[in-house]
Amino acid sequence: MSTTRRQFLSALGASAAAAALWTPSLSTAFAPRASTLDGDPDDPVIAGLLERQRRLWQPGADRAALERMRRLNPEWDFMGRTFGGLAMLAAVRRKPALADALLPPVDRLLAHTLSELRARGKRHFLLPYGWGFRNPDKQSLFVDGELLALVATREELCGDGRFAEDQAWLAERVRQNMDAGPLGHGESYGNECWAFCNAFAAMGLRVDQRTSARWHEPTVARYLANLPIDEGSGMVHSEYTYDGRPQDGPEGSSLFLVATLLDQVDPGRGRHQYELGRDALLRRFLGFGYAREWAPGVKGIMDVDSGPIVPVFEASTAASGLAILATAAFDDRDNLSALLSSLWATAFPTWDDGALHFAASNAVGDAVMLFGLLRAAHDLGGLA
Amino acid sequence: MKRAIFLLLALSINLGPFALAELTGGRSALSALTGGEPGDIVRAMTFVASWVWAVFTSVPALVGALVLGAPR
Repeated sequence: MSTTRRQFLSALGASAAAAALWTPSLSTAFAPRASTLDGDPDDPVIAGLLERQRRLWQPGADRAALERMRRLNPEWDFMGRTFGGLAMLAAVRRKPALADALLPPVDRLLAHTLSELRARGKRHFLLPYGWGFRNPDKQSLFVDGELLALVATREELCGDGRFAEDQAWLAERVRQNMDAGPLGHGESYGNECWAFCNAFAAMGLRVDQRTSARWHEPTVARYLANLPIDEGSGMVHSEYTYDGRPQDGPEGSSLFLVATLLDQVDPGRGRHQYELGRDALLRRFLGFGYAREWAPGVKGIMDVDSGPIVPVFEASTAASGLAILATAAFDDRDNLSALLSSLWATAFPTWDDGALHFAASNAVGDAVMLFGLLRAAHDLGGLA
Repeated sequence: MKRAIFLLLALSINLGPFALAELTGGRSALSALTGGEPGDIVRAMTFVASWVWAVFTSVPALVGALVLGAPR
């Protein structure tokens, strides 16, 4: 063997040996602090994400980030508001001293969103398709359910009745939409019922029930009785027609949120869904965690809901973000820690004068992660 | 001296592209793809590629140089 070749092979071997040493321990460099895992509002990561949300709704704030996001998908603009609003309310509940800083932005967010909904209608927050609604009032549960959850949660925390009229209006629309459905599930788009939106709506009705004289148990019970379950996996379908025919099978970007909210509406059943999703969709690799959009063997199509899918691993950005929410809610700290390690390593955390966002994410992704870290779902269930 | 030069070379080859992409606003460009700050797709992709390059080549090269010795 020539000297050059021996040197080359030695260098290759040395590199391989070095890689074998450093690769398995790489995730420790990105491991989250205990306070991040605990959901402490004073934790630097959580405080940075909160500051980002707060600034978006300061008077005269530059909302260009939201405008850019709604050009890609108006749903993201809307969901960024609801998840961000619920996260800020959760932070106030955990640390009342934050009320002066965070309640005014929540109120501005709500006033702005409600006025846009009343002035421009639901289409302002929906993608331009699927207008053939079957429900008699042609309403979308996507918009009404999440917004009801936010308004009612604010009322439960503040108790000042500031948005009482809007809350009653939204609760009535949600209840009518769900009651009119053959299964007791409402449409998000024409002939499209989404498990994600129905879970949020049922949760919103429960919070509304706790904060008003209205009674929604028959609606919630019918929703629970007719959850569309995939026979093979036992997991909730992500999308189905108005009369219950499955359209998409179980998907990580839906299931992790559904399981989390379902556990607040029907304790135990949501945990069972989470455990099914965890086993089928959550993966660990060298200490990093990620979630698949589809279970192994299921062929799905990458879309606006799944987000980009990383080849080979089949890791979904949307499913992984929502898995952070679920692992936090179910106190699955090992998986939460692994997911946050991946987030820190690959999502490019970016600081701007105390405010944190992830460059590979967007405003709705940041809001979902904050909602998850603060266990805001527990507030919806009245357990916090 | 040889080892110092090798280390400097390893650092610039492995971390240089990442530093350059970071300095030219690759992170902002990446945000633009997801609805964040303004930017362009080429800078965003360069940023991600340079990060992958930096992570997966720097550490073996540096460990190799420090622990196993620089080449003659």
